[in-house]
Amino acid sequence: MDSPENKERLEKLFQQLLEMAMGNFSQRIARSDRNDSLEALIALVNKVAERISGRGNSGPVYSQADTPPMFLAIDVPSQTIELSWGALDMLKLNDSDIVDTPLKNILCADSQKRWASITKEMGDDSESGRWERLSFFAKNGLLFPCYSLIIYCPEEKILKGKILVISFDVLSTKRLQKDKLQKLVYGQFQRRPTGSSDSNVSKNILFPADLEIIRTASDYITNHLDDPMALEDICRSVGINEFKLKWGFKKVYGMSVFQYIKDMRLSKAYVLVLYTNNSILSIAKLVGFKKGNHLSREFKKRYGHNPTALRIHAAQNESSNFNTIH
Amino acid sequence: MKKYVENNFASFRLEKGILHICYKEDVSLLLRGAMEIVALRLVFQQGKAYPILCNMSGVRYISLDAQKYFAVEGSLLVMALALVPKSPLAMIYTKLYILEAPPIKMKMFTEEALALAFLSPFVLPESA
Repeated sequence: MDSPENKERLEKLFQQLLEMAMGNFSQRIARSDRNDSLEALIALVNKVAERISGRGNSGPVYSQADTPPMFLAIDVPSQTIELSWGALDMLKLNDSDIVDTPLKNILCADSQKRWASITKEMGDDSESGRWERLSFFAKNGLLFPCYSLIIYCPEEKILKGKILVISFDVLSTKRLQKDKLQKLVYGQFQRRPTGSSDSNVSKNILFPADLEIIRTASDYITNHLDDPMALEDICRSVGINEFKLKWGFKKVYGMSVFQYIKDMRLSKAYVLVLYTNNSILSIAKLVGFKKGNHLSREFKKRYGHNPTALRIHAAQNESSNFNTIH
Repeated sequence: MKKYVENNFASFRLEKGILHICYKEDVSLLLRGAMEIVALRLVFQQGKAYPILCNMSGVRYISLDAQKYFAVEGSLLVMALALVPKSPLAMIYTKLYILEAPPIKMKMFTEEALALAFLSPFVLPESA
């Protein structure tokens, strides 16, 4: 534990916990190739920060105005940053500090490898832009993982032959979403007409504690997809009344409880249709639909093909199967 | 039926009716990787459910959306799951997986022999 390497890892751990104590959940501790207890603790602290910030639950999202994106223009032959803007906000570095330095100097090891393959793949015929997850080093030595839009400019006059990297702090978007949700919760107090009875208050307000119960209900649903599920069972298992469950679910997830159950069942059915030869009826039963034609109907509504058509289509394009995202 | 298959993330070996999944060294699992693993496993299993012995020791990182994918789509065609972490880091990821995962029959073991004993009642006679 007293080795210089461990001392440095421990210091990063303290640094990260301090950042989190100050409300900054955007950064991560750079991981080492060790498998020891300290590494396990570092992985867990990173996971807590990731969970709180809500990263990883969504794909690329445009950030909102409270944290501007970072903009880098990379010279392709020398791989150095020629132009930088916004690094101070995201990485606590002055833009002038990183101009003329190789991009890889501010990327973590995994992202360096990713960057090397991106630049190799980018040519005159490459697509106009692609999203990648890159992790940058901030000034305090912690990592800043973010979604980055990478654009190669083969033709443009000023930026000819440059690669543009535009990186967004997804957390700022999440933070706004959270604020919106909180406003929704507390806004209910303001909308309540004066003189309404206490029983109406408790019936129509989604308290912050209820959000946790709604999440527990969604876990219960995930764990019981194969069973016929009644609303009463869900309510009993998480301790909430039916009205609040239905109403709260719509507010939190934007869909009814039954729509949510159906969506989860269809997601499971989708992978079984694509990657097994099981009959549609057996897939339907496995994921909780009573009849094959019920699954086919709902499947078509969501994915645009019925299961059999999708299977045939996938077989014809076998090589692209593994890249399908739904 | 094939007895062994692998991709960039893991190897899958069918032995005496038990599917052995072993993650490769230094694997970081994002959603795309999780989807590839589940897809390859389902193709390999040819629509049959198997008891699974999983060694996650090579995993360096699992993203939240990959974790979520494993908990829903990743639980398909699993009769029982025995997890054998061999380092403190693997132990953390195994515990996180158990906390998140659906109620398939699942247990963590420190020794592979005990894990195999746990899985043996789930082995189908025709695949033993």
